[in-house]
Amino acid sequence: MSSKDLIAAPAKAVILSLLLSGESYGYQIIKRVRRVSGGTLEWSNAMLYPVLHQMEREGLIRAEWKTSPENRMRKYYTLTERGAAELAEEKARWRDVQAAIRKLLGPKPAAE
Amino acid sequence: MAKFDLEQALAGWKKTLRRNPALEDGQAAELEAGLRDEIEELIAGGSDPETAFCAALAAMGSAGDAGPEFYKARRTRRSRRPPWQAPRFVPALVWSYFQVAWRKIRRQKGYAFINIAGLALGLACSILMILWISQERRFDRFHVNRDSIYRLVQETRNETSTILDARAATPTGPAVQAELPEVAEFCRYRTNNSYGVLRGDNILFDAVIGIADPNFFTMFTFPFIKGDPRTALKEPKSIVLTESMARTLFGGEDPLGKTVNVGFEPFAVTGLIRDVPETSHLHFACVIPIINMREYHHIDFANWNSMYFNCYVQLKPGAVPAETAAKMSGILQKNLAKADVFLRLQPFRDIHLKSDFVFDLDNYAQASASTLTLFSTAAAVILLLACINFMNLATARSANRAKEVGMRKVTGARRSDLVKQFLGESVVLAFLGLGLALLILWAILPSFNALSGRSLFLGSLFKPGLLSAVIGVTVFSGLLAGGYPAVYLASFEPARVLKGSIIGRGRGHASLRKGLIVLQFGLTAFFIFGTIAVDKQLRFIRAKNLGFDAQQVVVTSISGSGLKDALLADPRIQSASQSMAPGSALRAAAEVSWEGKTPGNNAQFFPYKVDPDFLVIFRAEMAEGRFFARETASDRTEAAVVNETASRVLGPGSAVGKRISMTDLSIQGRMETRTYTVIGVMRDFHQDSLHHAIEPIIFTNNGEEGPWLNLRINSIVVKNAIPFIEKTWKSFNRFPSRPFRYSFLDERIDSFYKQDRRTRSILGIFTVLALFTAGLGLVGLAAFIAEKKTKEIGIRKVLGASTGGIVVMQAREFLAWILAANVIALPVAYLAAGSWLRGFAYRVNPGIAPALISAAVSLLIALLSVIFKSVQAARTNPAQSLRFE
Repeated sequence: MSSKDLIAAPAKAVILSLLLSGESYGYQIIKRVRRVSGGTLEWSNAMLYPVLHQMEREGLIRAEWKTSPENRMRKYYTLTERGAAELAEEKARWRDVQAAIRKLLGPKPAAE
Repeated sequence: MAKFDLEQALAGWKKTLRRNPALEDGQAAELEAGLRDEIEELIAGGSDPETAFCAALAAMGSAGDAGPEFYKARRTRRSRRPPWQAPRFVPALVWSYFQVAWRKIRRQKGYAFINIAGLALGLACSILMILWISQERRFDRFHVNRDSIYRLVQETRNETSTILDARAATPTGPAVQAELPEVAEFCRYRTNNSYGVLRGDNILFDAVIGIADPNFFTMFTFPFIKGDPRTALKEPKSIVLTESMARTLFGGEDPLGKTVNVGFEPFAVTGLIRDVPETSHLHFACVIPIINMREYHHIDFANWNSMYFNCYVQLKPGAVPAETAAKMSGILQKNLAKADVFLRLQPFRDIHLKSDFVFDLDNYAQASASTLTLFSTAAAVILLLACINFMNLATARSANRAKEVGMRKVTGARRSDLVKQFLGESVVLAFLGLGLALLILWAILPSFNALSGRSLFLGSLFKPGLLSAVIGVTVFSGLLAGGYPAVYLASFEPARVLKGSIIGRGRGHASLRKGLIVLQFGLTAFFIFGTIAVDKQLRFIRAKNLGFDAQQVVVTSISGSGLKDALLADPRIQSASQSMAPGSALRAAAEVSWEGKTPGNNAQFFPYKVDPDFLVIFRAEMAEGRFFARETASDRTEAAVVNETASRVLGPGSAVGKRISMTDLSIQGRMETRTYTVIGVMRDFHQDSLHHAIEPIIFTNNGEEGPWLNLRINSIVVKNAIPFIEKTWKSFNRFPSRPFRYSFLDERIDSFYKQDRRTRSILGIFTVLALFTAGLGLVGLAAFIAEKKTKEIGIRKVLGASTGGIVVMQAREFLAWILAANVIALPVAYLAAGSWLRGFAYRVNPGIAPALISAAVSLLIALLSVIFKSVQAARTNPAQSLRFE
């Protein structure tokens, strides 16, 4: 698994959890992910949009073109019910993975 | 610089997005929205619009990357290939390629013939060279020690020349082994086929007897069937036989321990080996120990002036040949008390192909690497000519395929698909050519073998190495021939060609075609010139007055005393002489000193043993003084005759009366120093081939001690002369069954130039093939041009042009190219021929005539190639050619 794959793997879980707090659009998602991860997860549009479309087809999110406050067309994504359910599952899955990884690779180094 | 316009930049970017088949409109819009968000934020953060745009674009990732990602998100096909990409491989199309290629061949038989026949000729020549070279390279590869064995080559220098002798002084081997720790072994070797080997009634007079040091079979690898290689030659009277020799002498019996006679002495058979492979420069039917030469040829094994054997040494691992050779030279110089002699170490693997030495007597089927290079180059050139034909015809006729290219592109073929298709076609054509080439080779190999003295056969091609070389050459020529046309054809744009125009692109290609034709005919002119120059030199040799009369002289040997008189008694024999004959192998130089010799003058003189009849029988002439007379007893021991060259070396003024003393190996094999008075100067004659300059010669009147006999046959009663000589010769012989060996002197002299005649023949054949191939190409091109100009010709005729005028108009252009080719090629050919001619001490100046002839020949060939189609075109009734206008 390349580091690019490693960054993309949790994308679904991350997007779902971000949308839990309300509707958002592509660029905002990228910015938030960057901020929350302290720069570790640097997503590009080219990576993000295909994932969003995939999730939309799976019915996890819903997309809608709206006019932005700056008076531009922008596609906003909101969480569906199915998405909320999926999020819970994803969370559990990632916690398991996290626990397993931590056990395998040792505890986190002291400094934050 | 214009101000950066963000909207314009974005518009440009959107345009590139739209080209991507994977992106749908909505997706593009969304990407744009994201990009704008990021740019705005960057500008808000203080960047100028241009920097912001670039940074945002970089963060977005390229549109090309985005496409496949989007596609992956929505793909429904099992295959990963998106539908807008053409499949890499469409089986149905392969069949169509074959169909189209076959159709092209069938519909344009003429052009296909030119291409296939040309490629076949080129490939046949190339395969022939591959076969030939591979056979030459197989020589001497079977010896286990081949990489550590070297042959000693003795070098003697004087002011004017360097003589390289394949032999080494007899004591050299033991001396270098004793003094130099890096010399592991030495082995001296020489063959003789005049002793005769017999057992009971089976006598083999022609058997080649190897004479070698006892370690011969441990140093060289000749597999033993019976006996021990280490001890087989230990005893002086032991002999090792090859299988076929043993079969001749013993039939089915086991020869080991039995006795055969070599000459008159019994030898015990101590070993039986497999027959010597054809690819061995050491070639013999049996081997006896070297020690017998003490008695057979009076070889003095301690004499450093004795040159009789080839000497091979095996070096220990880690020895540096150049250093060892330098040390060996020191040993030789010390023992000969001379400073101008050296020893070289010739690697064993070079002996077959890279030997150019005097006295290289035991180098079986020797070949020359430079001749092979010459012929390989010629073969490659012919292949190149054929490839050029293909290129020219394919690009010239590209219009015929333009629509096909257009259709294929419209229905989704990529450029690379078309390149592959066309390359495939030319490679298939090359393989058709290969088939024809193999047929040609099968037909010509027997005559080629007779011409070249080799035994090549097609079956030896079926070895992985050679087979891959042949396939490699075929594929390569297919790619070379098809490469440029493929790229050119595949570049047609469907929108233009389907509208029926490829005009505007043709000009550059037409001049390329002209360039290629100039190249073709330049190479051809080069060949023609070379062949004529070689031929001229060989004619010159044949016509040159050699200074003696070689016609009707039979060279043989004395079989018993009284033979000469018995022969002379018959009217069929005009004269006889017991002398060395002109054209005998070069002899070793003798030490000569004379009054007034300046110190440090180390000119080489060659002793020449004759009898008083020499002058008469060979019709040589005296320049000064007199020749030996039978009546003058002192002439036998005290008189010498020199040739003009020697006279010049002896100093200014007449040589007659000068006293010289000469140290030479006598016929009995002893070194003797004798003093002679010069009684005459003979006119120079060409004793050796015209490759070599005339050497200083000293004639002494002791030929009657030797085995030589020359007979001049009466030119009026030639009939049955040879049977008569043979009968008489045999009646004087101790062994009536001993074969009578003789040669005609003129044939013998002719044989000096065997290699040169071979070069002429093969070069001649290559020249004809080159001309033929180049001519074929021209025929094709002329036909095409005539076809294309049908209407032009029609209009010209309607306007009153004559048939002749039109032909001239068409031919003129071609002839200009051919003339240009000659102008470029002939000076180069002149230089090349000059360097070949420098291999002859006496040579012709190629002069202007061959240049004129080659220009004329190539012009004639070109004219013939062009004129047929031109006349046809010019004679067509304009009503026909213009009917469809």
